[in-house]
Amino acid sequence: MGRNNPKIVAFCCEESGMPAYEHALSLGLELPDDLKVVALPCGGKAETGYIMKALDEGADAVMIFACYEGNCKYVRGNIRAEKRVNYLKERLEKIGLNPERIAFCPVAPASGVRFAELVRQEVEMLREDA
Amino acid sequence: MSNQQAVLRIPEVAPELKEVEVVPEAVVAGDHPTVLAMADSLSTMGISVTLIHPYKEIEEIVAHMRGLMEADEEVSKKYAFLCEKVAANKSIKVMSEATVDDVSGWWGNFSVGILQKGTSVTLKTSGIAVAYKGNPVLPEAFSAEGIKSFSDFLAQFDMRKGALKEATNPAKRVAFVLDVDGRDEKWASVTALRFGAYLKGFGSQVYILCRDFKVSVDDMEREYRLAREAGILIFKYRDYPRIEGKRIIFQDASAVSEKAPLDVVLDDVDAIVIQEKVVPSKGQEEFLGWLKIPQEGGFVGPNNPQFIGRTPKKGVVVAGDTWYPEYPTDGYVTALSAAAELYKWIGRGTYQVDIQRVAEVDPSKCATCLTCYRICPHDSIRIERYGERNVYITKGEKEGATWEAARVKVETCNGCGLCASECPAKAIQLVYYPDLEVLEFLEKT
Ligand code: SF4
Ligand code: SF4
Repeated sequence: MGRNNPKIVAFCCEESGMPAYEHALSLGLELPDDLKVVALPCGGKAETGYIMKALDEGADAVMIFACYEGNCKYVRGNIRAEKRVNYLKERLEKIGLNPERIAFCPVAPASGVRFAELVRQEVEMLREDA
Repeated sequence: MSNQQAVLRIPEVAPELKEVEVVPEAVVAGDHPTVLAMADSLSTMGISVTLIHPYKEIEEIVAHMRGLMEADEEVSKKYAFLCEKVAANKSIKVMSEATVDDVSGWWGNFSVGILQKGTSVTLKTSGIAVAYKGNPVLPEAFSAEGIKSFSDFLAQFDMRKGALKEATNPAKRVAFVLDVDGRDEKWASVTALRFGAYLKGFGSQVYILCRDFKVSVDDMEREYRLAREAGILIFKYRDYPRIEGKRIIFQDASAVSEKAPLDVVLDDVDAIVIQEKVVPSKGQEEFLGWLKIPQEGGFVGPNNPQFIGRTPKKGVVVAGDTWYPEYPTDGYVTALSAAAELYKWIGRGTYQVDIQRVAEVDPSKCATCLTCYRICPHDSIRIERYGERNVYITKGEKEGATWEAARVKVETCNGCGLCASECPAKAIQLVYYPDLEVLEFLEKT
């Protein structure tokens, strides 16, 4: 695997995470190639099953890019996602894995810079953790 | 790094349209003046409107407006004109002395129970627009200090009126006290900044005392900067300020040490403006409750800041204090956007629903746990009787009904997938984006 290039799966809400990713691309910001991007209709659709499957299939980290609180088109999707992430973090810790391998990241649609920065931080964290 | 990420996009499934008939009619209900704006606007767009209000005469809707409006001639003229217009409009059916007693159903098919002078009537309608008036109350912290009436102080709602009066006889020192009961509310911060700057223009010294200041929303940052530049002093207090006559005493929260708190004393404050608490009216809470529309502190707005006047429920829009306590000028805009939003759903006689972009329940897997029913933000899931597997039979048709299971109403589902992601039995799939696609994509990450 080579921890130098950790693998990250990003679940991106169609309303915020995806536009932020595209924005990062349009700005020419560097994103690791080992990033898998999955578009979802809502951050709240990032199911436990999806997240665990990603980890199971070898992802070093899973990031969920959703809307800021109060901005969800479906009212509470982002809050559900965040709660789910917190629950999964607890579980990871219980079985002795680094809970930081799952991250809930609220972003605005036009915040490509923040998107790239969050991914960069995650990569750095994983490298140190290795 | 060359930006060659693998990306799974939401599949672009060709829409499968189902034509749904919607009669262009709406019930507009409430005691807030913005009901007039909504009724007028909807009627202009060709929707038959029934206006339900609690007063004897329609004029009273405007007469019961808070003092604030009287201060602003433009606004009160506008509403007075609207009132005449609505009263003269023969195609708007007005029900006076009437209140809404019960609401059920969904977009295109609502049933509204109305109580009018002791008799109940039920109206069938396609869309609903609501605007209730909130009730301003003085914060408890002040009652505790023995201050009972608004007249001693300018309350937030009357601030503009007061501010205009100030223009002819400006107070030398004005203090705004915000964040009563720990509630940090945008509308209060905005008004304090705007009217603070306004008063500053007449040479008043202006202080804003708050617990926290919301600048991270919309164009607040700009207003904040302008106010700062104008020389408004903004303090963050630790405990609620004490008010003794014209003196305000509080502990500055930004002071360096917790142990040596810095007492700040403001003397000779001519006018103190207190943020009122606006309590939603009883009718409003019930109304939203019947429709399962989420409220925050009794208002719909904070949950949907970027969709003005819209609720998560298709075919239901709100304005007035039901949306959020705001000034009648802003309220007017909210009412118009709400009406336009409603038109989108019910204005055209028929509506096309894409039955691909929805969720679907496999009734044979459903454990009737009600998780999806509680979660759905659009109230699109009902527990229904099924005959054989996947064969749905209408309510009341008991024969052959073998089990009950969740069922998605395609007319109102928005395809967000929240139900699918929480269903413990994995009985729900998004038709246009089944789990399998995501899981396959994740393989050998
Ligand atoms: S969450 Fe799943 S099992 Fe529970 S009622 Fe809904 S469809 Fe049925
Ligand atoms: S997909 Fe979303 S809107 Fe549709 S039924 Fe499920 S939770 Fe409700």
